[in-house]
Amino acid sequence: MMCYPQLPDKKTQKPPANTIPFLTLFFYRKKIRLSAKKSFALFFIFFSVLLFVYSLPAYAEEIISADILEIDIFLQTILEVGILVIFAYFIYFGRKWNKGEISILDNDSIKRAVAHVVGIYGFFGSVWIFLSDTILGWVVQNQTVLIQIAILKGSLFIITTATLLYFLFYRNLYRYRKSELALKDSEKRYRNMIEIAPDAIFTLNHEGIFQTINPAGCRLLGYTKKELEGSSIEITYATEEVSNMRERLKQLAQNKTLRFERQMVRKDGVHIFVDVVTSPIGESSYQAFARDITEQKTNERNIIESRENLSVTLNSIGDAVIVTDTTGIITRINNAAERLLDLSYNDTVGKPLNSIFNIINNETGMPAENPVEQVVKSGKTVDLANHTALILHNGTVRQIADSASPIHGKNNELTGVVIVCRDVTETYAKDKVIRESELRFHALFMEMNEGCALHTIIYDDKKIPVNYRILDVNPQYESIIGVNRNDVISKTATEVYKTAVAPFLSECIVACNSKKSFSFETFFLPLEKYFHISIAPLGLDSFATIFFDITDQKRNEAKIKMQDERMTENIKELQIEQEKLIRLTIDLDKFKKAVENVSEQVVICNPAGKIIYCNKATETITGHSQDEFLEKHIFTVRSSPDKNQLAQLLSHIEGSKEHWTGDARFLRKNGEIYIADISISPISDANGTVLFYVIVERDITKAREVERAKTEFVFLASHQLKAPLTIISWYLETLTSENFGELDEKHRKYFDEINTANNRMKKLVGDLLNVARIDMDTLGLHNKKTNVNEIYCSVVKEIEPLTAKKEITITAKCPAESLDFILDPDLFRIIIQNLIMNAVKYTPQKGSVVFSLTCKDDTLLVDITDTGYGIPAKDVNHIFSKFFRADNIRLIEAEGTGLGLYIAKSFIEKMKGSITFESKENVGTSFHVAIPAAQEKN
Amino acid sequence: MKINKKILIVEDDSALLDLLGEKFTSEGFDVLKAQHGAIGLEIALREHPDLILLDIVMPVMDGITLSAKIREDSWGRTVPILILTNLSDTETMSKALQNNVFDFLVKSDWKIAEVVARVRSKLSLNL
Repeated sequence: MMCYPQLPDKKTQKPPANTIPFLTLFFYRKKIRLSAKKSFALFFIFFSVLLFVYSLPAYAEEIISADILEIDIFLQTILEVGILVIFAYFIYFGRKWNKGEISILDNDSIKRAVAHVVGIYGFFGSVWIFLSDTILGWVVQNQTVLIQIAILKGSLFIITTATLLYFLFYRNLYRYRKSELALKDSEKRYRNMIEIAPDAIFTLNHEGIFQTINPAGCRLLGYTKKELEGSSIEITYATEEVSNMRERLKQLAQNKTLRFERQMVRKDGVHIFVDVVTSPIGESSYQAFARDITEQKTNERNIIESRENLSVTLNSIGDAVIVTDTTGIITRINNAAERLLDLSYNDTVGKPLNSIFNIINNETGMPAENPVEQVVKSGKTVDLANHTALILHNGTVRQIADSASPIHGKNNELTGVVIVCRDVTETYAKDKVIRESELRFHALFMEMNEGCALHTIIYDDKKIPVNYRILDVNPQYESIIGVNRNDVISKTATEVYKTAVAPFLSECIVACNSKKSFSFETFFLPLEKYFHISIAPLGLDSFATIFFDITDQKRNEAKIKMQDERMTENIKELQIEQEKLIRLTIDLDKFKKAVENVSEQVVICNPAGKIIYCNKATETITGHSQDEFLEKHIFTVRSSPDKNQLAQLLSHIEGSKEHWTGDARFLRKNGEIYIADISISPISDANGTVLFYVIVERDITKAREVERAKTEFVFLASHQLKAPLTIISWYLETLTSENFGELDEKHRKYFDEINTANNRMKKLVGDLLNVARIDMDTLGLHNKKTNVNEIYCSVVKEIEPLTAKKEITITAKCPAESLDFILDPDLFRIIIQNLIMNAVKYTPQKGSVVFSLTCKDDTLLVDITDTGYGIPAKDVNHIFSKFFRADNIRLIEAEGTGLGLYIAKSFIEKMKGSITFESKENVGTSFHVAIPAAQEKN
Repeated sequence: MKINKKILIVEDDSALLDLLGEKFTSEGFDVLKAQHGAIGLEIALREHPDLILLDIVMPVMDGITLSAKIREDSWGRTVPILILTNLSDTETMSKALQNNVFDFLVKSDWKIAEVVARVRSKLSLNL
């Protein structure tokens, strides 16, 4: 037996196994729009079938043969297989449906119903079989009862099946048919509605392919029905919105209803705007209603645009725009107003104008009238007074210019007021500056000393300037030109100046074109005066002339010109002088260089003794550098080994106006003593005031040494020469003296000869010494007061033996009183000696010599005249030469050195005197000597 | 004739010295002789002669120095000094005269008798 639980056989096992697919079905029921009720019903039915099939063997054992049992088993098997197949199909179906690949608007709803039935029935059938078999098997042991129950089950099964089938299947079908018809009918109605609907109505499949389109839709899109059906909705999409299409299809697939606006592209390419409502209908279709809202859209857009434009305009207006209603409550303001009031939109809208628009009159300081009230009152546009100031909430003051206008509604009633105002603080300030500047310039114009006129150029048809018009003139112009302002304003130049051509027109044009002003001087004929005129361009067409009377100036200029010429001449002269000066300077420079570089020390000091210049030799000689000397006192800066030396030298500077020369001993910087030959010369100006002293010093130390050496030599030489001569002469003297003893004639004669020779020698030595002195210039003059008579007398006395022997008379013509003359007595003596000696020697027997001595004008005049042999003419030029003896006396007088006259002349010249002579052979000679008085000097 | 006067002769040249000595001795003077300045000074200070005849150019001590030294001496300050020299330069002359010599004779210019006469006149012996 099959249902007995204690015998587990495949039949009892099956129901549980078979319930699983149906459980699954149960859970899928929602997906296939299967209501719970229906699902259960289906399952129940199926289960009953199953039960029947399973029950069959139970009866079959009793009723039917084992073959039928096998058939039953076979059927069961087939049924189970079929169930599995159906289940599989169902799953397949379900999945496809899930994926949307199967449309639920499929006309094949019978399949669906079958699926329901099978599914539900199967499930519940299985449960029932399991339960019944199991429970019954335990509960009921009686087989007959079991059979009865089985029959009951069977009948129940059939009934249930039938009922269920009816209710679910048939009835459903019926209802389905009925609904189908109703649907068809309503469809028809709807179709009609759709056909006549003014809006486009179309259906698409889940892929977006047009399935149905109503005529309105065709009209809307411009396609025919045939063209659209089967085409994708995509063709109506503008390319940029295509992605939206897919998105929407997706959403529709999710069972969403969409409402949107989009562009649709008609067949002719025209883009229209549509308002679309679309929702899924049925299982795989979407329906859509599309209304052409192109016009609406355009209008909308226009409105938006204009609204935007308005907004933008409003906000881009620099001016603040405040809109109020008729009561003065602010309805809107623009950005500029926000900025002007320094408030935000929200702070102002809804508030009364007065609360934030606080205006006062600039000049009076009183609050200004509310513009809204004014507009409302007058109904017209109102401009606020010029000098209105706005006081912001934070106290800032802004100058504003504004106006308020009424806003009218459709019926011309006043709906509001719009106030437009502008922050003119800057402009106001600028204006103020300009006004002030203008005032200043006007003041300048009126007050200036020069005449000034403003003009504008007048052109002819060909745009050539022909004249100019006076725009304005200043008071000075009036007084200079002698006209009244009102008489010349707006008149042309030719009218005012009464000339054929406007004066200086070309200059004015040049100035205007070049944009540069220039001035010139000219003689203005109409007024017969000289003017200095400046033309200043004020633009392309206008210029100003500024002028002043320079007639006087011109006259002065002529004068100045003359002076100038004279000045030029003076300058020329100065230049010549300057050139001279330059030449002098160059010379001076040379001299300066010369002085600087001479070997003598040259020092220039001021009258006080301060050294202002010293040359290079200063350093060489004194050892002190030039710098050490400069600015110092001349005799304090150096030292002397002789105590009073410097003081004595100083005496020749301080105030002295005499030139002084002399020697001095100084100490060099290194302590060396040196001898300097100093010459101090004062340099005075024209008045005799000493300007400075020039002190020239020569280091004569060496020279002195040499001199000394020479002198020493001479002296030593003379001494050495003289010593033996002295011995000879003194011994001779002793020998020939009376006390010594008798000498016979011959002895005496011979001794005399020796004596004579000795004397000659002495004389020669003496002469040679003198000559040496003269030649070596070591003769020193020792001038002192000398009694010249005495010398003469002594000389004469000396040669007495000779004069006696030759019987020569010497006559002296001297002044009575003795003549004291300042000269060197020794030298003078020698001169006289030589001359007288010569006179006596070279005068024959019984001759005469006249010696005369006079003093005239401080000059000693000595004349020696003899009656001697005279000097031959040919020897006249030689007699003063060394060792010269004329031939004529040589023969007569063998003795004679030939040095006498040379020495005499040298001595005379040393005494600054002169010697002259006249001579006639064999008549006589006359020598004239003139010796000036010397200064007493040792 | 004997004159009680002492004469000092200072002369380096022996020939002259002897001659002068003889001359003055023959004249009756007491003659002291010195060959150069140092000896002369010594004799002078020792003997106190009445007159000194001096040469200038002498070895050891020259005449000028000698005369200066003599003059330093209290006696020597007043003793008459006669310079007998062959030097004829004025510098020497003046130097000598500084020492208060009463005369300066250039030997070669004067006779010996004149020299004696000078001496005599100085010593106020007018003979």
